[in-house]
Order: sequence, then structure tokens, then C-alpha cells
Amino acid sequence: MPSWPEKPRLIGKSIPRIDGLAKASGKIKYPSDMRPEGTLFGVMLYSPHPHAKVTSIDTAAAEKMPGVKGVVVIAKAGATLRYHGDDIAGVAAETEEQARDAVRAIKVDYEILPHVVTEEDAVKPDAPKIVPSGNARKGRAQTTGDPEAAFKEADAVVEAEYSAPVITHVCLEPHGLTARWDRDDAITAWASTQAVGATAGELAGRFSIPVTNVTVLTEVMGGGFGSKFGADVWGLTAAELSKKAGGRPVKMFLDRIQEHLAGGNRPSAAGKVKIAGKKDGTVTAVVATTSGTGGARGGSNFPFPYVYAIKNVSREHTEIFVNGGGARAMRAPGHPQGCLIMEAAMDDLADKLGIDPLEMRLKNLNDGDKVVDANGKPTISRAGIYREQVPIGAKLIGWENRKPRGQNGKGPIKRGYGMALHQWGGGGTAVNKVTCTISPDGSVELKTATQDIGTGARTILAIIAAEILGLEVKDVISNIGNSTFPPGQGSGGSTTSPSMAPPAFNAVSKARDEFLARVGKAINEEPADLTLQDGKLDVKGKAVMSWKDACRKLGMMGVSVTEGFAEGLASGGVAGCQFADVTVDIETGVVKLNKIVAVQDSGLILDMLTWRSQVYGGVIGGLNYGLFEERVMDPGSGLMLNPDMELYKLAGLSDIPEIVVHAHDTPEMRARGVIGVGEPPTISTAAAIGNAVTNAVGVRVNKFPMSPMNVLNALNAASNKEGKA
Amino acid sequence: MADPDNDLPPSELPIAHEAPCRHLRHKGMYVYTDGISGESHQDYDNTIYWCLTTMKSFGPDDDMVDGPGCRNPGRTCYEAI
Repeated sequence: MPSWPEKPRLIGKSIPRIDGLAKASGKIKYPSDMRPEGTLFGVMLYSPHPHAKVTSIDTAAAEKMPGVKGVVVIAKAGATLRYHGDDIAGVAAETEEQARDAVRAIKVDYEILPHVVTEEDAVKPDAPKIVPSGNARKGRAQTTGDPEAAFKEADAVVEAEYSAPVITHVCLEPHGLTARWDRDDAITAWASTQAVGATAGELAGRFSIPVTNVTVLTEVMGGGFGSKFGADVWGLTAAELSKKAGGRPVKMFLDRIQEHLAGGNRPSAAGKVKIAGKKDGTVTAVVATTSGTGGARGGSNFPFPYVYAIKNVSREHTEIFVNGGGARAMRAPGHPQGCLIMEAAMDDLADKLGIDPLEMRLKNLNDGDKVVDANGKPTISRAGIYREQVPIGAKLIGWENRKPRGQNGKGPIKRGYGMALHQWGGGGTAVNKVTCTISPDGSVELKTATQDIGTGARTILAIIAAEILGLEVKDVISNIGNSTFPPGQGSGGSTTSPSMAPPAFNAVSKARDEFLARVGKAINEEPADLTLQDGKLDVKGKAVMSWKDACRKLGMMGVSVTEGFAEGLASGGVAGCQFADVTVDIETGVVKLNKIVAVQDSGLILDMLTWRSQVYGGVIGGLNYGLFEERVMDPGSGLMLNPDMELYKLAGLSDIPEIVVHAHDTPEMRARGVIGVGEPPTISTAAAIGNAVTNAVGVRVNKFPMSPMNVLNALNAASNKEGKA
Repeated sequence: MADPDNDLPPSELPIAHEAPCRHLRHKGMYVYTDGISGESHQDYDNTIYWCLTTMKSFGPDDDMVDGPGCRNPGRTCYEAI
């Protein structure tokens, strides 16, 4: 079974991403920057109504507009539109302005249907039906033990409601692609996608052409976070428009408004929770009725209970359908929602029991939860990993400064601390291939049809090759983002690194072996006596020639090896914990983040710099969820009120606190092989912030985000309850 | 009209055994390269589906795209793999 080097020269070090300078300088082109010769500009017409039927659509005037080269109708007469932003038609024209003018000239008659955009209204008996079977769909029921009996024997019981709103995807680069018909059975597309192969497959399928005739290119891309898989309706529309325009490229990227309306979102989550425990901190029972909406789409369920071992559980989830843009996977789908509800309930129970919530968490870890070792055997206790991580995080945040809830001084400025635990699966898939080519001129290239979605995938492949061949990272060309290359991993679920590192390792190792065999023959040396290091070929440990000179010994033909996955180089299953230190002004409700600590394991870390970058990014995404983000729907009009970058709140530079990232990088973790880190570090940030705010202000702020409104409402509700209003 | 399946207690929801429609997609198919199963976990299922024909969460028959529904050969738009 192959294994990673015991004493690596490059792996695990902090190595700048190889395309960093090109990205920062603007030299490299993102898909939305691409303007192939003859490019037409595509614009989508979308529904101005939350719920309507198209009774007629007339494109004649639009087609006669100056510069217009094609119009494609998506929602024909009779089609139902289910949300503000639903797709109706697409136009391609010589300029973007001409395309927008033509979109405005499309005449659509609608039958306006009654709408419903809030979960509360959607489940009323007289609510308009979004789905023929009804607006509520129950999930699988979970029942373990006897919660009612446990409640009777408990020392403390907490009943509470917690909720978080829908938040929308806000990728820096919008969704879309530029499509060009190269001939009557071949397409090239420059796509902002997390899966070049999948996008090629969907384009080929729609037009019934061989997938081998479709080339999808994603050299770099500006973020997807789970929302960019496949060609999408706008991508297919671009390709259809290109066909209408005689093959001229059509650039179809959503604008920022459409991004919020149609680019996907994380479903809302709400839970009525009853949780009980003993004086010693043992959580004995939890009963939860949860719900959420993914708009006119499913996907709102989430893991609950989360992380902890609780013997008596009853949980029922209801998916609710509303006239809102549909959910798409968003970084760790379901986990942030489950985490923030579970961790709020844990903190509230600890407060009622008078126990340090940190100690209560450690007491209720699931010792039966095992993650796999390097051999794929579930032998490593995730609870054990938490027990190592939590004290580290506590020390880094200064947990000893935390005071019990409500004991943070008499002035209006309160300081609080909170924490939360999370977990994720990840792991690699075994179907991918990497080709390693060593050429007589000394160049080394890795090729595979995966893509770098900003995580550093391109860089880690080059690190692996450089490590094995004794070269520097700059000496390796990491050629990815092309669907015609050997099959590569779609980038989702934190699977890219654990899926692509093993085939890269195998391909480069076998290419090296073949290289040494051929060079050894050429210089009359035994291949077993040859090694590669410091850019040189060594014979019996003594450098005899440079890498380039050695490559010339190959003659006219280079070495090219394509290899796949191997067991023992990657695994899955991680733990992690985060801590937040906040200051809250209880007169204004404004929350200021002072510090966030993220402790994270993820097996063998290939590049510490890009690994840390991912954790920082995850925390920043999580603090946006915790403090700012919320899709605001108007019940009256059914429209989204904040589909822009002004009213849809995100953190600015001054909102970002000190973020301390601690890699739980131990020999035991390294031995597990490569594990992805995309999702885990974003899961528990919001939960930790919510608990810190609650610790600061002394009452549970049970609605996310921790906005001034929600903080003041919680304080006001508590004040009213105590008769102080 | 009441949907008899949806009115059942959650633990009694039917389990679909038919092969899914060939136009059914979810992210996991492009990540875990599994053409059949959803992203269902032991205790919860939050798979987000779409239809390749409409590229939306509703199929050509104007009904919802999902794991059980798109294994129903009775749907007018169903096409076996």
C-alpha cells in the first residue's frame, strides 16, 4: 500500500498558491472575463412576480431590436413561475445594452397567482399551494429511547425556540458561462463551475452531441460554495443562443440581483427544542420539532441532534415550500443549521444547570463515533479528537475570562464568550485519474479534469509532484480545469483534495520510476541506485547531473503515466471546534467580534498556507451567517427586498476580528492521509457567536443573525417577561 | 386534494424502489459519482434535486422533482435509466 513520505520536504509547509500572483495582478482570466472573438452578450428575462402563469409570450419586437441575434423562450405559454427571479427567456445581442433593451421588449402576459413567501403563512390551511401535494412535507422521524421518561427524571429541562433565516449565495463571480458552437456537433464553454465534467455532460445531453465534443474550461473561478454544479438553465440558454447565432460565442452571466434571486441559497432552519439534563451535566433527552424552507425546492433538513450522544431523542422535521428562489448546496449543507440549534440548546441547558458549557460539551461527546484511519478502518475516536482540540481552543480564546451568563457588568457594554463543536465527513472518491508527463525538455505536467474553486487544488497537485521528483513547485505545470482531460473530481463536499491527491501521487510515483529506469539504462546505472533531489539526479547519493540534463537522456519520447486512486493515502471524517469573543452594546444591539478561534483537524495537510486560507474563509463565511446575512421577503408583494450588495449585509473589513487558526496537525492525524477542509471550518462559527452574544447580554438571542434588531428584540422580550417593560 | 402519502406519519412514508428517472440530478451524483442514491444520511435527507429537462426543481409535468417522486414510472415525464 502506498504511503506519503515520512519526512516530506514540501508537503505540509506553507507554500503560496502557484496562480496567486496571476490572480492578484489580473493576468489570469476568470470565466466571466473571457471574450472569445465575436462574443455576443446574453441577458436573462426573469419573473417579476412570485407566482404566476405565463399566458402568452411574444418575442417578435425583441427579435427585431438592433443588434439582437437570438431569443430563446424558457417559460412558454402555460408555464408556471414560482418565484421572483424565475427564468422566462434569454436574449443574445451585440452589446449588453442591446440585450437588456431587447429583454424589456419581450411582451409577457401573466395570470397572477396567489403567493406565499413565509414559512408561517405557507402552512396555513388556506395558503396557496406551491407543490401539488401541499406546502409541508414531513421528513423521516427519529425516535430513540424514552424522552418523556427522561424528562420526568431530569434535574433541569429547557424549552426554547431557535431559528435562522434563508441566506443567499454571494459568490464573487456570478453564475454563468460563455458558450460557443465550434461546428455543428461541438461546443466550447468557459464556465464558472465546480465541475467541468458535469457541465460538459449536461451541455452534451441537452443538444444530443457526444460529450467528447464538448470542452468546458475553468482555469480559475470566483467561488461556488456548492452552488455551481452543471450547466444550469442560463448555460443551456447561452448554448442555444450561440447555435441560433451561427456559433458565435454567447456570454451569459447573471447580474447581482439575479444571483440573489436565482443563484441558490441555504434553507432557513427553525426548531422547537426541549432538552433535559442531570446535575452532573449529562444531557438525558432532547425532543425537537424542526422546519425549514428551501423555497420552491426541498433540501431544508439538517442533522439533529448534532455531535453529542443523547440516549433519548425524538425529532421530526417538516420541509416547507414557499415562493422563493430554490436552495442549493451551501458549504456544509445542513450542518451550520443543525449546529446552531443544537449548540444554543446545549448552552441554555448548561446555564440552567449552572455548569460551564465547555465542560458539559466534553461530558456528552459520542464515544461510539469513530472516524477512519489510514487503512480505512473506523478506529479513531472523534470524541478523543474533540477532547484534544477543545482545551487548545479554550486557551487561545481566553475561556478563563468567561463569566456566567448575565454576569458581565452593569454598564451597557457587555463582553461574552461562546463556543461550538462541529464535524464533517469528506473523503475521497476512487474514480478519478491524473496524467503525469515528464518531457525530454525537463518540463513536468499534471493533467486532470478537476478544477480549482479557490481552494488551492492546482497548487497541491504541483506540491505532490515536486515532492516526489525532487523539484520545486514552480517547476511543475498543474494543468486542470478542462473537461477533456482525464476524469477529475467535481469540487463539492470537501472531496477534491482527498480524491485527487492519491491519483496524483500514484501517477507521479510511477512516472518517476519509469523515468529512472530509462535514464538508468541510458547512463548505464542501476535504477535502484538513482534518486532525485534538489533538482538533480543522484547516483548512489551523489549528484551527477541536473534534472534537465537527466530528462534529455529520455531521447525523443517523454514519460507519460495515467494513474488512479489508491487506498491508504486519503480518508475522511473530521472534528473541530470554534470559540468567539464578542462585545455587545445592549443599548444599540450592535455586536462587535473581538476574536474567533478555529481549531481544525483534516488529516495530512498538503499545503499549510492554502489550508489556513480555507479555514479563514470558512470562518468569515460563518461570521456572516452569524451576524449579517438574511434574505428578506415581502409577504405583501412576494418579492425579495434585498437582492443587492447594499441591503444584503455582509461583513466589511472592519467587521472581521482577529481570527486564530490552529491546525490540529498531529502525527496521528497525518497518518490518516489527506482529508478535505472546505466545509468544516464554516459550520460552528455562527453557533459560537450566538452563544457568545447570549453570554454577553444575559438572555438568549434565539433568532439569527445576531443583528441589532434581533438582539434588542431578545432583550425586550426578556424584559417584558420579567415585568420590567 | 389530500395526498394520502403525505398524510401518513413520517415513519410510514413509502420507500421507492424503482430506478430513478434518467433526468434526475443532485449534486452528490457529480461529487460521489453515484448515479442512484441521494445524499440521504441515516437520520435526515437534505438532497437538493433538479430535472435535466427543465433544469429546475419542477419537472415537465409541473410536479416536484425529488428522490421518491422521480422513481415513479406513473409520472408522465418519467424515463428509466
